[in-house]
Amino acid sequence: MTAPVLTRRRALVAVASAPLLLVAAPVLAADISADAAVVTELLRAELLLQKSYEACSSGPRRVSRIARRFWAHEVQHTAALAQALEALGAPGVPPPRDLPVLSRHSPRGRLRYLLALEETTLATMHAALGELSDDKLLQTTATILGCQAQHLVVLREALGRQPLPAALDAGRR
Amino acid sequence: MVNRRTLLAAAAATGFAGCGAGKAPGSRTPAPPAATATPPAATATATATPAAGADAELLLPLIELKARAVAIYGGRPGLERLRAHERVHLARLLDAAPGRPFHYRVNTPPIELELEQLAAQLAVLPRLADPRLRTLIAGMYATDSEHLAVLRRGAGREAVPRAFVTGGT
Repeated sequence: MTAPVLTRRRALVAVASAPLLLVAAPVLAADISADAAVVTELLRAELLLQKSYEACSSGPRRVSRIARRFWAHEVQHTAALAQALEALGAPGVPPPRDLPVLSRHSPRGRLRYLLALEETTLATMHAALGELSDDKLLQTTATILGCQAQHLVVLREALGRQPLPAALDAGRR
Repeated sequence: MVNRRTLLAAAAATGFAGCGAGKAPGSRTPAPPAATATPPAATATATATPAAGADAELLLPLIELKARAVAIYGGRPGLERLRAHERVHLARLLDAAPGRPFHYRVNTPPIELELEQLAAQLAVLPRLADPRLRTLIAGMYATDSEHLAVLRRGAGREAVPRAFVTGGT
């Protein structure tokens, strides 16, 4: 392989573009940092969901059947988000500690808890899609948001609620 | 030519979508496979700030798909709620990109239609500069994913078969 020849024209272009690079670098760093903060929030929400579905995967069959299926989805979501966070050079997110004692809840109570958690997660993802700057992160988040929205359909139906309550589902905080 | 008001009103007309391709909304006579519509800005009820030029262009494929969804669901009993949602989506998109001509066809089965919409939204999302438009599309993406789950279940299929909803399958 031969080294590129430094011509007068290349040198002038390099000199002319240097100030632009100096301006652009902090902006890019700020974008990455902002994205990392958003992904950290998303991962925290997804880890809580994963842990909650895991906790509900045993017990009443009415809940555990759904929880086992959705837990498998959450494992994939958290893996994708953890990988994205690592790529951004941000620290990892510890698993959640403060989980309600779900065994004390009735099957319906567990479903209500999971529904509320999914709605909160959907709201977090919805907001994130207005904040993220990286194209790939935007798309990954959208594909996860779609899955959470589908989880909501199943949980709403299990609770006897309208599965399609809104034309623009932005979740609920 | 169909304007925004007549297009949305046409969604109330049932029967035409079930006839498949070759029918334009609001028309009972055979028409070419594609209908062209120019929604005038003057008739739009402004609920969203119109998008800048590049963003507005990106919304056109989504508008076409939403117009198709409104028409298709208009002809299918049991899908009234889905049609109502699609009408809201279409109205919001037309508010964001007024005065743009578009065309659409009425010949896609509902599950494929939702998949096509999701794929189109996913492709457009990272290209939109306006974060408000991205959150608008995010709301549609969530609702259309829900539509897909309901339609799949109605067809005796698994409602949530995958961890990532891409619209591809």
